Amino acid sequence: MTVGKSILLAEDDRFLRRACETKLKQAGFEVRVAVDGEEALTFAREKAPDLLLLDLLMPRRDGLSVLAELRRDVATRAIPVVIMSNSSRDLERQKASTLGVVDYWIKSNLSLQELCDRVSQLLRAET
Amino acid sequence: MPRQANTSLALTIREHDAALGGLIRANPLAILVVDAHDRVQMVNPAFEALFGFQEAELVGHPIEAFIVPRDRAVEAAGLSRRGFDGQSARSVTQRHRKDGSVVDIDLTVVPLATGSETVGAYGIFRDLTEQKRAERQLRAQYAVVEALANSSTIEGAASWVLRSVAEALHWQVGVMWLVDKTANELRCVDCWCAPEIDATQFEQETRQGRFAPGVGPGRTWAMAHPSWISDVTSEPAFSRRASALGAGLHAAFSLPMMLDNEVVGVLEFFTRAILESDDQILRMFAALGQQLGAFVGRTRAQEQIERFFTMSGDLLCIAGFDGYFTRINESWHRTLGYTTSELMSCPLMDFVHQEDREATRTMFADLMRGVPIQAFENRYRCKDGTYRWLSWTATPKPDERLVYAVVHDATTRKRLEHQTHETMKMRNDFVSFVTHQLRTPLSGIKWMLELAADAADSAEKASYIGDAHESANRLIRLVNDLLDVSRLESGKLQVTIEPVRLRDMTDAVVDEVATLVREKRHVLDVESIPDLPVAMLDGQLTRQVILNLVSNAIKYTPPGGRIAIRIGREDGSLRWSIQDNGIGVPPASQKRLFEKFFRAENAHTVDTEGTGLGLYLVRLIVERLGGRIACESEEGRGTIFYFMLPLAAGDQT
Repeated sequence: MTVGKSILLAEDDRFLRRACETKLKQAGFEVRVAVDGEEALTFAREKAPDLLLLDLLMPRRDGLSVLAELRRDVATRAIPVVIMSNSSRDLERQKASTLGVVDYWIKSNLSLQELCDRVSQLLRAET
Repeated sequence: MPRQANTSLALTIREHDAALGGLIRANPLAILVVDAHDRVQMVNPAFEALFGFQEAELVGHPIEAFIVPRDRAVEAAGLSRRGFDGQSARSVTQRHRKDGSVVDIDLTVVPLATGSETVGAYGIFRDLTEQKRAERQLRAQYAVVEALANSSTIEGAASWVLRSVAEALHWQVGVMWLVDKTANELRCVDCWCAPEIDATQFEQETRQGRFAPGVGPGRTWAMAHPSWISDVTSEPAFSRRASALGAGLHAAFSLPMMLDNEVVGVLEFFTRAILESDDQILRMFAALGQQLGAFVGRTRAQEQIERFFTMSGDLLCIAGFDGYFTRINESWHRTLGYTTSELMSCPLMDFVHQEDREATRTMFADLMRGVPIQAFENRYRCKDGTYRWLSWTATPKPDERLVYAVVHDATTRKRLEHQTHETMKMRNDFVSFVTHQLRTPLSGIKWMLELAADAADSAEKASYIGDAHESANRLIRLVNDLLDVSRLESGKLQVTIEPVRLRDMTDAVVDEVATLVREKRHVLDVESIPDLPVAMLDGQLTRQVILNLVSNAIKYTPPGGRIAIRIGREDGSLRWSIQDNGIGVPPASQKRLFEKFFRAENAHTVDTEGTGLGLYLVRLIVERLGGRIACESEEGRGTIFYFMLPLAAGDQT
């Protein structure tokens, strides 16, 4: 089961952060939120989550930089990461793909329910 | 002389000839028999035909009175003497006919002997007219060809051509006329007169003459056909009749210079004799008319190509395999600024941009192997040190060791391409950025509504709807900003000038942000000079600028900061300054602060919702109102923005 799996949600927009956090918690996940890139890195290093939902454009440190840092460190290298961005630029997709991500989602194209279902599916596959 | 004195000799000869089967009478050569006193004894029918005399007119008379030209009398007497001395003699000479015309002949004199006594002589005449004519024609043609080969224009060849033809014919005057299409008349190109005649008046009249189609030489032009006048002095339609008479000129013929089926000029020749139309002469020189016409056509085509070469906006050149130009047109000078000799005295590679030399060498090597080049581009150094893009289309001629090239100045196109590329890139960046910016509040609205729909608790539901509402407001602000930017960028934003009380307007802005100021525990002061005018300006837009700058100051200053707005005057302008003691702008970001979508490096640390449109919009508005804006900042210490707006003439102080 996916209930109790830990998710780190890195999202600087307070509305999106609140919405995601609420929905994922309702679905039974253990959710920790980071409001910028630095926080995301700190939390990921403290305790590797089962899945990192990572925004790209964030204060202090952007998502790609967080990703690169995680991949450099043996302790965090294996964390499964899904990019959740509203940017659909090929350049960012390519960079993320090179660094190794599970998927790349456009937030505005997903409903919260779809988001939840996809997360559940991923975490089931992981175990 | 008594005719009977020679009857016996004549009879003897006739009998003798009859015995020989009519060797003399039937001979196709003209044969004359004279006695020892040079008196005619007999001529054969061929002689009659050649000279136009009947035998009966001549018999018993000395022959020289009939056929020997005055200047040939001595020669003729000498020939006869040798015959009477028992020797054969031969001469290529001239005699004239009954009608006075000269005939070229090959004359052989053979002694006529009975036993050991010489009793007279045979004269055997071979007509050389055809042979001489052919020779003269050949000579004339050769001279014409030579003249044309040595001239680049018909004007340059005219004198030689006229002289060659006239001399070959033993005629005295030659004139060349060319068709002037614009004036629709013939104008004289050249007039050649033999030195032995005095034709000053005739030549002058001819050179000044202008003839319409159908008049004078214009008849030949109109008919496109040769024509002959046996005596111009008795031709009432011949306008130069008097001067022709003065120069002693009579017969004339003219022939058209033909280019395809068009007459481009007319040749006229005059001689002192009165002569009936001679088809052979006309036929002989018809080809000359074609030849000269073709030459005119060629030189015109050459001139046309030359004109294209000169006036071409493209850079045209011929270059040698040695790497030097051998010929260039004016456009090189116009485009690059060098003189022609400057360009031709250096290897053409010297002007090529360092970075393009390798590629240019490869291109040139291809050309030398015979490979044509299409649209090869390189940069060429101008005299002023700048570079221009040149696009080369070149064809080699390995047998001449030359390259022919058409070179186009592609600088403008290159610049446009670059600009278009930049514009496209900017547009793509803009679209992706705006997409991102629009999607974020849209996602917020969508997700909050989704949560609200599923929420059981009404307070919870209201809270989600409140967030959705706020996201929607953010979206609207963004869309409005984008619209403002678009209107300002396209110059479509309407400016409404009205009297504005500056202090009141500024205070109103301060009231609007009072809540935010209070929340962050900032202190905000407004100072203004005492004699602040009621200014004529667009109050709405000015207000937007102040609001934007004050909001930034509030946002980018940590809680408990100080913000000061000062309104004053400077050099006939109004001047606002908005100062804070906030996070400041890093030096690297200061220059780009007013660019579209640019956000200072440290802006994200405070707020990630910014679009990078605010200060850009402020700059556009200030510039639209004829003012200017600037910023001074020290990172971590604070920032001061100030903007100046011009005081309109009607402003009251």
